[in-house]
Amino acid sequence: MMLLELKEIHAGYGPVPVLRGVSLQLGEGEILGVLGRNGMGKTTLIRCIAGTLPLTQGSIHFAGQEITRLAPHERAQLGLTTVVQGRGVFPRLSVWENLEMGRIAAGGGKRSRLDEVIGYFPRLGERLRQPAGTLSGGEQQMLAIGRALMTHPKLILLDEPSDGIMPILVHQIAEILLQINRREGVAIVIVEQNVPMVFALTDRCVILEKGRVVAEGTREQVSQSAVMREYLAI
Amino acid sequence: MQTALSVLVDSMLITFVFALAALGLAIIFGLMGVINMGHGAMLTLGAYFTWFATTKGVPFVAAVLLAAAGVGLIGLLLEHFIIRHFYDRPFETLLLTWGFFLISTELIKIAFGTDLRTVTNPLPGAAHFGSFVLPAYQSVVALISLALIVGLGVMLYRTGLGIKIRALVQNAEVASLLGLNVARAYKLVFVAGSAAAGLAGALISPMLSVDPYIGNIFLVRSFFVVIVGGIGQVLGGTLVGSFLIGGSETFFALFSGQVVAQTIVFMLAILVLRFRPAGVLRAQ
Repeated sequence: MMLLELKEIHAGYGPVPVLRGVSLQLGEGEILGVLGRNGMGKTTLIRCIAGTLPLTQGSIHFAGQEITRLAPHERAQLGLTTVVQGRGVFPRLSVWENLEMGRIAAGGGKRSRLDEVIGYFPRLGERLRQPAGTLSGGEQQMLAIGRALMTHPKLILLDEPSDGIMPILVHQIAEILLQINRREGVAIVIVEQNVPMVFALTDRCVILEKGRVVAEGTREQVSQSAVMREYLAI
Repeated sequence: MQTALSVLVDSMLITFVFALAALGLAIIFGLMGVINMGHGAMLTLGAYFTWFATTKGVPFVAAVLLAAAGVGLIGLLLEHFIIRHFYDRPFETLLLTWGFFLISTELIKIAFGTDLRTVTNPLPGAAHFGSFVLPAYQSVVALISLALIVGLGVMLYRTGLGIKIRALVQNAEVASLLGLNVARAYKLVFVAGSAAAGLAGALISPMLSVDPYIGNIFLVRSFFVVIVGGIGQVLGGTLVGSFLIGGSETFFALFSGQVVAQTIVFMLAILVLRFRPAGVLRAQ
């Protein structure tokens, strides 16, 4: 059974269509990379799956259930969590409070994964009392991913996680995401312009162009496609 | 010496009354960003609930609790049917809450007229220390006010609910993406702010004559308290703002009339905001 299934989804902002019939499938524990230039609909795709932007057509199924009309918090309670572009940490909450918010937001009955999260990101363990707004960009990204992990997700949506982060940290974060995927079995959809990061993480990619999937396949297939060479200059 | 002590204690008592009156606004405006022009009406409704219940033989403490619950319920209806559709539109919420003030004031006039009503002081005594007098009821109200502010601070900074509310205030979209039911959380905060305003109106009612405009006395002052103290600084900001507005008014009234004292205080408040536009305690 597929964990996530998008069927011909259309969405946009007011009269401006952005997604024009995107269909995707993702299995449990799988990592999918979504590549594309600015303005091609990558963030819109994430917002549609997360529930912050309604579809104008099409449907979304998650873990065997149709979620097209569910609110974002209802999707999160099913195990679909999102790390937004720019990290979205709560700047005046401490690192610990940010992580705790991940555990309690949906009700708080979940086991704390604080030790596991600190195991993946030891830097966070050294800064638990520090306001999240005072962390560096890379540390904030670690916090955002750690907080997502605290929600016990089945799927993490990552929107441009390399945005504004030092290259050495991008590599480190990619390695930790792979560890999380392998140890926890968490599926990941990663939307990125940073092609090396996506290729380091995933075997399967799609390329979005003007709101449509124009290339889909393995890392090798996608990297050799005409679209990839033309638009991403590889 | 006696006079100085007396002024200091009077200032502290007024500070806590102002803090009590401003607490509901500190929650609804300070935390949620809703410019609640209906705050004065909520105080008035709390006072009328108390007056009405006590005239029907309900004990004062029960009447106060009923007033808080009643105004909380009115806040729930206001939020559910109107305010929740306008959270991201501050000008509209300002007009809507002003409309709520006008409607509720007129309804009070229709139901009870404009006559001055009196709520009997449940603790009329006072402690005398030479020429210095400590009124019993005002002292209890000050303690309740302090307990409410400390309790709210503990809830906000020491509980999971507090983490959720502070996260909601900082980034509602991300809070919802983590699983928080944002609509329900906003409702809870709005109802809590309304109930706090109702409780304040109820507790203030024995100190003043109850009329349809009793809440207006505190509306502008409450806004000044919240803004001067620092928007979002529910704990320290409300106390500091109340002291600067209420306490200093008592102090200046020693040397001039009440109206001149109020004018000086509001001018000082404007001066404070000129140099610290985010309030005394707000991080710049």
